[in-house]
Amino acid sequence: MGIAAEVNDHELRDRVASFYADHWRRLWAFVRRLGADPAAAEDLVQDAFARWALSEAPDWEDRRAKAYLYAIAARACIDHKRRHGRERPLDEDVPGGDTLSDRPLARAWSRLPERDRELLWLAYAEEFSHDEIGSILGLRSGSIKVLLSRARERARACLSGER
Amino acid sequence: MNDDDSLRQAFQRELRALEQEAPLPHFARLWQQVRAQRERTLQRRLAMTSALAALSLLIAGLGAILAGFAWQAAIPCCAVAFWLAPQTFGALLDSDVFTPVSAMPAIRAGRR
Repeated sequence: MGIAAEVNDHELRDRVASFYADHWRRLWAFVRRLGADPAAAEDLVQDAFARWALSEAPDWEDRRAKAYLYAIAARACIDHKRRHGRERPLDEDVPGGDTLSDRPLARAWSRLPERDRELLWLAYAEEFSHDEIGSILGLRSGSIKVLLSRARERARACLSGER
Repeated sequence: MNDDDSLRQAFQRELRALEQEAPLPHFARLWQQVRAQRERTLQRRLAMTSALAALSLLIAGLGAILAGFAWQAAIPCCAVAFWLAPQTFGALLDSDVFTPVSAMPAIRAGRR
């Protein structure tokens, strides 16, 4: 490998390392919320980062690069579910179960449709814009507002049932 | 506080709780995976270039034989082509390449 390639390699490594440190836990949380069990979530996130690092995304500005990373992870989750069937409810994965007592959202989560979970998580936990959510989920950004509003209503109904 | 804010707070709380449950990241493992994949991609490109060269040499050699002249050129061309071909096609078959994101089944088949 030439000197220029080595320098590029170090630059890429630094960029990927910093992005990885910043987003690993959040992306793992997102993948868990899409229904993957903890071990599968770890593999899916690792794979998503590898794909991201091998793409042109590390050269992009942060928000665009982050949206692309989430798009990879969301698609990987869909493929994972197709191969391995439905997810287990999240409550089964939490040791003791009672740790969820102060997390009404976690209890209500399994009653929400899958699309609602993706939309709500990206909008409220990750605070992506409608355009970014559209690009992550492969939807027209114009439809995000309507879909999100319906998802919000369903989430409120689920949450009020939990209280 | 309106409903939107309370929903946002619930999600932020949930995000923080899940972040606590996340396993430790392993950057070294990731970087090893990335480098290995880059090497495989490079090997595949090299193998494809060699395959193209082998095919060109074979065509040139066969063409020379069919034209009925230049046996001196045709024999080495075919010899090199036959020497290159098994290696390059073997390398091509061995190198598994990451499926590009755009070619992942979820994308090809539509979202759901």
